[in-house]
Amino acid sequence: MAPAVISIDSADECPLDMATAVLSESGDVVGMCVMQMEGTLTGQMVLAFDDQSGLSLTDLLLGNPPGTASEWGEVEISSALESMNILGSSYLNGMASFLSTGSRETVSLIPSPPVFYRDFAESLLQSAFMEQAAEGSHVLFARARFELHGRPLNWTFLLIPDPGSLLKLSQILSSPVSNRETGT
Amino acid sequence: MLAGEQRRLTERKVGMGDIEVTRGAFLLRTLLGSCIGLVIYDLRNQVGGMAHIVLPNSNGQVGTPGKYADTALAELLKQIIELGGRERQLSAKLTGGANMFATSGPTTIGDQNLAAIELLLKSAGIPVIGRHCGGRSGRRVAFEVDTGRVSVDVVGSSTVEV
Repeated sequence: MAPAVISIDSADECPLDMATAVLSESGDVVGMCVMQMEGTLTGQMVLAFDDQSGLSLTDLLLGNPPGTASEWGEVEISSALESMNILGSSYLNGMASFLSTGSRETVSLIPSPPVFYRDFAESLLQSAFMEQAAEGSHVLFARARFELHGRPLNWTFLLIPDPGSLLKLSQILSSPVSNRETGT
Repeated sequence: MLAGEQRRLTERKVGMGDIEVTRGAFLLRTLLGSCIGLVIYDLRNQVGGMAHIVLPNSNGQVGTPGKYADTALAELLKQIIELGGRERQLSAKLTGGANMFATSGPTTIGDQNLAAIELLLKSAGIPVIGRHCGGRSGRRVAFEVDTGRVSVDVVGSSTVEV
């Protein structure tokens, strides 16, 4: 069994106000690491978690017993950012490899350094969806799920492409895909 | 006492691009990032409303008037007047307009939203009597329609009334 698995859980298109409630509908405070996606496609990647789940992540990364971390200090934030760095880079590498296979062009996706925020979930997502909101009333995003040693983790990972990249993505996916489908 | 505390008020949530106008004992709530929470009310007639503005200019787009500063103000005023508000008795309060993601594209969208709505309110002759705007943090906002009280929560800070 793979120790850690990230997989696409869903790709959603929904009205803006529904999208901003995807993490919480009750004004909850969340931790969030944000990375920019640059290169062939642009957009943002978001790793969000409630305090307990986020602090558990730092315990896991530091090899501490669960419950050791109790508040967001420098070490905990640094751990969360490092986790996002690993996850975001792996996600983009996987996506670039998938999209390049069978495509006429090499897809290059470059992650920016991650930034940590702790704020109201809806306030943060408003900003994350702002580029798409400027173009229409609906937004599109992909959601990933995590497993560690076969157990689901309560983190939410969102990929939010910029509007121009949605068109570009559609063009790449509609190019010859025989190799991509067979995975060769 | 802050907005909505120790009183039985009917609550309504104002989502992105929405407008809510009511009369009497209502509490309108919203969460803001770079968006603007525009509150306009007539205290004497206890009529007021909130628009959750996302972008500064509609550029002629129709269909979601609350989303843009120009169309939101026009629609909010229309609904308030229809519900018994008097144009000469209106006051405004502004919240939101943060620039939350320093690394995102439209980093100044909060400032643009704020500048747009302030200009429109000035043109309409509606005084802005309270504000809690800008910065880098989100805001949880509650507006008590019959008293005009607006309270703002920022993570890590005490609730303030504007």
